[in-house]
This record gives sequence, structure tokens and C-alpha cells, in this order.
Amino acid sequence: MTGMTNLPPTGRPVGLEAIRPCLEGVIPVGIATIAADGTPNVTYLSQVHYVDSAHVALSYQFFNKTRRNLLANGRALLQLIDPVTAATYRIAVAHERTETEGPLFESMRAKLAGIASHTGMDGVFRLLGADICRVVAIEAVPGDSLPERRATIDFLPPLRSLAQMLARAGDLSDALERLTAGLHERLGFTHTAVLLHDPGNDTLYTVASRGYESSGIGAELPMGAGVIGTAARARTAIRITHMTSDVAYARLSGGESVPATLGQAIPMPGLADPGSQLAVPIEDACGLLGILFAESPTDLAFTYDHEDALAVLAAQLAPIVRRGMADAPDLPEAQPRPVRPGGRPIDIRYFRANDSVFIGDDYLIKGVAGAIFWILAQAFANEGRSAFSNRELRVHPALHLPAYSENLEARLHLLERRLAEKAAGIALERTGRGRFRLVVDRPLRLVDMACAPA
Amino acid sequence: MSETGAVAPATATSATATSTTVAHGGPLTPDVAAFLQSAVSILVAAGGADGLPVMARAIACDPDSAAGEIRLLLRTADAAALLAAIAHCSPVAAMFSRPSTNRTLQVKASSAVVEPSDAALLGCHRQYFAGMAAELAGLGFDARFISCVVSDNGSTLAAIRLAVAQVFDQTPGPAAGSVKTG
Repeated sequence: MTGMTNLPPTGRPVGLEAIRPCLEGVIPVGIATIAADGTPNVTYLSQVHYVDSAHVALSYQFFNKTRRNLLANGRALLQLIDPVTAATYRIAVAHERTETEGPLFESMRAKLAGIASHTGMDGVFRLLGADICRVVAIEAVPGDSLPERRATIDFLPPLRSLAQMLARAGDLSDALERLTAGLHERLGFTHTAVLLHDPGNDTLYTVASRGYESSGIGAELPMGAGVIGTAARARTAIRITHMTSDVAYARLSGGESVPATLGQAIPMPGLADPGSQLAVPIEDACGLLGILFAESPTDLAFTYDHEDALAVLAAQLAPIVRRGMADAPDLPEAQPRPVRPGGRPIDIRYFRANDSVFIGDDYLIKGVAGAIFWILAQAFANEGRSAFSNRELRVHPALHLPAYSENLEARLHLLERRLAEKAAGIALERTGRGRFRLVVDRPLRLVDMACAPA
Repeated sequence: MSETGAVAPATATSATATSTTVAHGGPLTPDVAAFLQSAVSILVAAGGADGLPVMARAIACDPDSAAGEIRLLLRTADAAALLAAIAHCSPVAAMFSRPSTNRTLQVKASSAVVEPSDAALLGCHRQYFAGMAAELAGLGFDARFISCVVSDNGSTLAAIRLAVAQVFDQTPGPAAGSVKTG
């Protein structure tokens, strides 16, 4: 047939990585099993998940004949179709174990919600377990197929370039800027965000984004909320290739925000109607550091390769985020002459209850970043001080920071970005590693709303 | 109701499942027969000589409600193992699933017979191909893709004939696995 290729005969060795597109959930996978009395059973399986080069996980949603057979004799045969080339493959598998919680389970559960939505099965598909199976054999089924016409990206050169750019970043702010720009320019991600984990109140806060109308810098998300929060809680990559209406995964986006005190909610950056979403944890041996997130308005925008690429970059970003928790040694720096700008004062209101800060009537920031700003603003207003170091903040009694677990660098980045977005005549400028300056072009008039309700 | 212990519906007019013909009134009702012949994906499974499952896609179904039998059209190029298992008297299962609705039935038979394809089955395949082309086009698949999945792919063809002993409703949901009583 014109434009088609004929696969070689049965038995050609095929690697599991090569057929990962068949596991995207676009076309259901056939599964055949045999009962103890020799009776065959054949049905569709909602999801077959790639685990590693030698294992797949089968979604277990109902205790049906297929599952009984699988547990009884441990063997099954899968038949899959590549959603682009129509090439058919058969995979013989042997059951090893079942997982009912943990990262793999969470990843499959989120993906299943997307598949359910895509196939009109919302509310019907519910993951009870992930049946981990060893791949015994993969067979390319003889038959017609279409030429590969997937929009392929050669991921290695851009990954190399981005990894080098991250390695050369001066600080976290620089790294985040390079990363989000590189993801867009080199890998084609149109909408991205980086959220960091606040271990103090176990939330995630947005420190960078690209592609959105509103940056959402400072927006907070509870652990477990949406695709991002689920990926963070389970510390696993989650990739949904079809928009899901599942309540558990419906993301807070497009002007919505997490519950917050009136007037202090920063909307999460997000597409109102995403087709694909991908959240990858940023973590190291000491724990979760944050989430690298991407989304697209189109379905099937992200493949396993995109997931791999983000996971590699998240691993590159992790030590940079971690470094923000340890400060550079205090280097002597001449304190500039006290600054006493003139003009109409800028009103700063500080609410001690939750360390929230308003510039005029506009909400700026709260929490640790708010408390930092209040310390800086007081030093500036009272002493005319403009130069500061991370280290002095780290030991400042008003901040009550734990010695090395608070990511001061990330808080300063957040504050810097929020001040830049407000453009109210106050800026934070980095003057070296672990040092920064408050640049203010008018006097500050500080009002401590001590203990007033926020 | 699960499939465990499922038996052919035993009514006054129906025979219990056997490897031979199930009389009219058995599970292959006109409604079921019409569904099996419609635009549905068809996968057929049997047990190989080593006791492991074998499977292949069928590209047409020709049901005979009166006889309680169906014939399925297979591409020998991709169904060699399945045809061999059937030739060795394996029981057979066949799944029929409508892509646009997820409605799914599974048919079981204690055995099947391998036969040559004939003009009637090829006529069924032409109808089936047209139906699947419309069904899958409606889901966004292009004509060339659909052709790869449900055309004869230039393969020689063979038929299997089986007496329908049981029909299960496998549409995803709470009723999945229940016996279809017609």
C-alpha cells in the first residue's frame, strides 16, 4: 500500500522504549489471559504504564476474570497499536507484584483520570492497584504501518545546552530565568512554571513561570492539589495527555487561586483549558525541593521523551535550589552611605498575623518573604541602610529561621520578582553571591498593623 | 455479576453451552449478532500449546443467529499462532468493542474450526471496513491509519467458525463481566 511499510516477520526483537508511544492510552490495549481450566479471556485494558526497560504496569480497576487469571497463572499477552504509525505489537508479560500506593501508583492514577476523560469514562475508571509485570517478549506483528511522522525532537543537544546553562547560572534567580527561557526556545515548551516546596507549612509556592498572561509568582498551592500537588506529594512525575475533568486533578488555573485570605491570593499561573500537563519533582537525597511544571493547550503534546527531558533538567536544578539553603560566607563589603530619597512617601503596611505586606493598597507578599521585606524596609526607613547579606537575615531574631532548612535564596528571588512586577518604586538587586541591595527611589512610610486581622 | 461461574443461559428453549451448535434462543440473539457485525474492534484469543495466551485481530464477523454460530475473518500473517492453537482444539474467546461508545461484548466457545475464507465473508469484510472507517474517522483517525488496522494488509485470509456458548457484557462499569442473557 502506498506510503506504508510492512513490518518484518514475527520474532524481530523490539525494545520497550521504542514502543512507548503505544502506551499513551490513545488506543486501548488488548489483553489475553488463560484460566486454570484453559479457557481464554480477552478484553481491553485502560492503561499499560511504562515502568522501565524490562517492566510495565497494568492498571487494575476491577477484580474481573482477567485479573483472576493473571494472579492464578501469572501470564498475559498484550496487543498494542502505535497511535501514529498503526504498527501493532504483542508483549508477553509475567506478573511480579501489585502496588496499591506510592509514586508509581499515583502516577498511574493521575494518568488514568486523563484517559477516562478522553474515553468518556469519567467516574467509571478508578485505579485499585498497579500490577507490575516483567516483559518476557515483544513481537512486532506483521502488517501494514505508516512511516514515522511524529514531530521528533532530538532531545540530547538541547538538553546538553540547557544543562550547561544551568551549571553556569550565578544563583537561583539566574538559573530559573535560564531554565524557563531554554525550555521555551530549545525544547518548545510554551507554558512552564517552577514551584518550590515550603517545608514549614507544607505548601508549594511559585518562583518562576513563562508563557502566561500573569506570572503568578508567589502563588501558593497545597500539597496534593491538582497535577502539581499530586506529583509533589507522591514525589513522582505525572503526565496527563488529555484534559481531565476529574475533580482530583482539575487544576487551579486561569484566575482561580487556592483558598487564601481575601485580598492576598495570587492566582496560579495556568491555562484555562489545558490539553496536556506534565509535573516532575525537583528532589535530592534530602527530600522534595519543588516541582517543574509544563502544560499545553493541545492534547498529546507531551511524550515520554518530554517527561524524560524535564526529569533530567529537574535533576540539574535540584543542587542549585539546595545551594540556596546554604549561604556564602560573609564577605566584607563597604556599607554605602545612608540613602535618604525625597518625594512623596510610599506607604508600606505590615500585618504581623501572617507577615503579609501591602504597598499602598496592593498586596505584595506574605510569609517568610513578607517578614524579610519588613526587616529590610525598617532598616531602610530607620537607618537609611540599603545593603544586606543573606547571612544576616539567616540569624535575624525576627525571622526565626531554622539554621539551614529554609531556602532563603528562593524567598529573596520571590520577593525580587514580586517587587519587579509591582513596579512601585522599590526593587531588590543582587550585588554578589549572598548579598543584595534594596533600591528605593522615595521615602518609605511604615505602618505596623500589629496583630490586626489580615 | 462477575464472570466467575458464568454459564450459558439455560432457558426452556436454549441448549447449554457445548462445543457444537447452540440452538436458536441461545446467547447469540439478533441484537448481539447485529452488534458483532457492526463497527467494532475484534480481538480473538486462545491458549497456545505451552498454555500461554495467543491473540490476533479479526477483520470481519459473519454471525448466524439461527445456528448460534459466528465466523471470524483473520489475516494469516498475524494470526498464525492463534490459528495453530485453534487447530489444536483450544477454547476460544473473542472481544467486540465499539470505539465510540466503549460498549464491549465477549463471546466464548469451547472450540472453533479453521476454514478457508469465502465470498460471503469477504462481503462482510467490505461492509466492516466501511463501518470501521466511518467509526474511527469520527474519532480523528485518518484513512491510511484505519486501513492499516482493519484492511487485509495483503495477507492471505482464513476463517474460524465457532458455536457461541456464552456472551459476556464487558462494557466498562459495574456490569462488566456479567453474562448476557439476550
